[in-house]
Amino acid sequence: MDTIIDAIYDPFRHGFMVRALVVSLLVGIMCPVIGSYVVTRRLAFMGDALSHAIMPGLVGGFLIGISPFAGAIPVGIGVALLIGVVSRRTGVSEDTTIGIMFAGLFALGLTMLTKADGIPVDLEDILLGQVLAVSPADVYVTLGLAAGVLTALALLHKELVFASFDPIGATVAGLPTAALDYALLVLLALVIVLAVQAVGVVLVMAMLVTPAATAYLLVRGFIPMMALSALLGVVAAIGGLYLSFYYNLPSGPAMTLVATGLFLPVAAVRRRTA
Amino acid sequence: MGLLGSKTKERAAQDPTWENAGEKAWEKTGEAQATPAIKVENLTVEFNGSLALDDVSFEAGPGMLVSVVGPNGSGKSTLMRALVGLVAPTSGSIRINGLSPIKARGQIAYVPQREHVNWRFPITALDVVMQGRTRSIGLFKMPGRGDKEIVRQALERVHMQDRANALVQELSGGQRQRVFVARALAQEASIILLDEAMSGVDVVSQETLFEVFNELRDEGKTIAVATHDLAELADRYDTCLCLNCRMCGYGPVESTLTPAVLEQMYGASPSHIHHHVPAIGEEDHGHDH
Repeated sequence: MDTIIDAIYDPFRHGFMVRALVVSLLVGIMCPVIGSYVVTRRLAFMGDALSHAIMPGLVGGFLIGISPFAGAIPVGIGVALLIGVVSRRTGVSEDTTIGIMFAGLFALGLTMLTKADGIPVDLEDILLGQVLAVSPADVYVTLGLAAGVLTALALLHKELVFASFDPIGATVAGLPTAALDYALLVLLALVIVLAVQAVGVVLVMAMLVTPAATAYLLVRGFIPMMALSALLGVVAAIGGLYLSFYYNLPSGPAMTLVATGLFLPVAAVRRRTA
Repeated sequence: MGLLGSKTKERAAQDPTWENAGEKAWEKTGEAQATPAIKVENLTVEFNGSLALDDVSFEAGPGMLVSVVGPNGSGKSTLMRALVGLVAPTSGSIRINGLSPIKARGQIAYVPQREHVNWRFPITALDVVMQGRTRSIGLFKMPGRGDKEIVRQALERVHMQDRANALVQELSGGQRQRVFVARALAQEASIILLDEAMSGVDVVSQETLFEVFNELRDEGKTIAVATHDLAELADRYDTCLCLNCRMCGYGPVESTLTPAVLEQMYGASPSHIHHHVPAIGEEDHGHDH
């Protein structure tokens, strides 16, 4: 018994593990909460694209020697707005626009990383996440971002729900639906930026959609879906953190495997028709 | 209902290509009318060089229940979308309570075609009806007691109070449509537009909806319904607007929906459709006995 309790508490004798715990908790909550919109509005591809497209921002942040957030936040917001504008203006379909930006910016980020000398980060950590490496400053930025995004989601809740359910009806009722769509994309970009430290560019998608999809199968309403998906997200994030600590795994794949492990049995027994 | 004077009524019936029926009618009957709820003048809408609506003019309301009929691709939906400012006129003008469609937003409640609604989104009937209050409540605020009371009454009016906490994705087509009409009621809009409102709607729901539409018309609201369903058109609506890209006729249903107009809308075999109309009416009649 003692050994189990030790196994649970031991890791947190290390300061880096306490920081990792805080960031994992926040990622576990924030990704599924905004992910509930991603799942019900079919924004999964958009989410995946945004996470890859912030790569130049992350690398730029490391290169300048300040926090990677400093580069990733403006790039994330910029890409979110640009995708909206380009697909509205060019008449090229939205998924094609997203694909072009996704690939182009990811390639730029990879090139920057390859050519940069003395950058204090591995490609693997950016792609797969390394929550054990977060700095105290990262923790504060993550806390601030999470608080800001949650506040915005709460304040805009009824408008975002209306625009998500019936965009045309919402426009006619006088809601600024285009602005609301952009707002949601910017919030999504911010959540992705904070999540990349834990799950990496490649696997942010898993934390965005998997717990939210699991919750969608289990509960009926949207608020219960957000709440349960956050709980599942926390289980996946903390579970992944332990796996990462004890088995020396990158944190992204570890968290993703736990989230998928929660989804599969639920998907096997539950079905939802719309 | 004072839509058309008797002379104009005749003329509209005899010559279905005669446009501006509504507009001329107001002049001739000389009724002291307030601003028409909907005023459309020479509306033309083009998409990529092909005409969706060609020189359509009419006036409606306040206090009218209008059906908008025509075959697939006749511009019914385009007209609806133009009235709410989702489609810009290529030429011509639209006035909603005297304002441009964009400025009049909020004064029109719109029930979209079902394929434009995200049914995957898990939301209760009650919350959908509360959406009608969104603008009145205001940004960043929560619904108050007054809003909740309005929503409760709206649900009762369409007989959906017992399903208030059901998810709309679990409801039948007819029940969903009743919830959307309740949302329009909660919005307290003076004009309600329904795009393809009656397809897949069960008989009970249709009865409920037309009860509500008639009450609303009597309260001075203007309701326009795009529909494929020519059966019972005359029983259900005051007025019909016949579209086939151009306006083929506009006026009281019985005098407007003539064989000539039907041929203009549906092409060379209107007899089939025309016979179809009374046939269904008779069936229903027989059923009552």
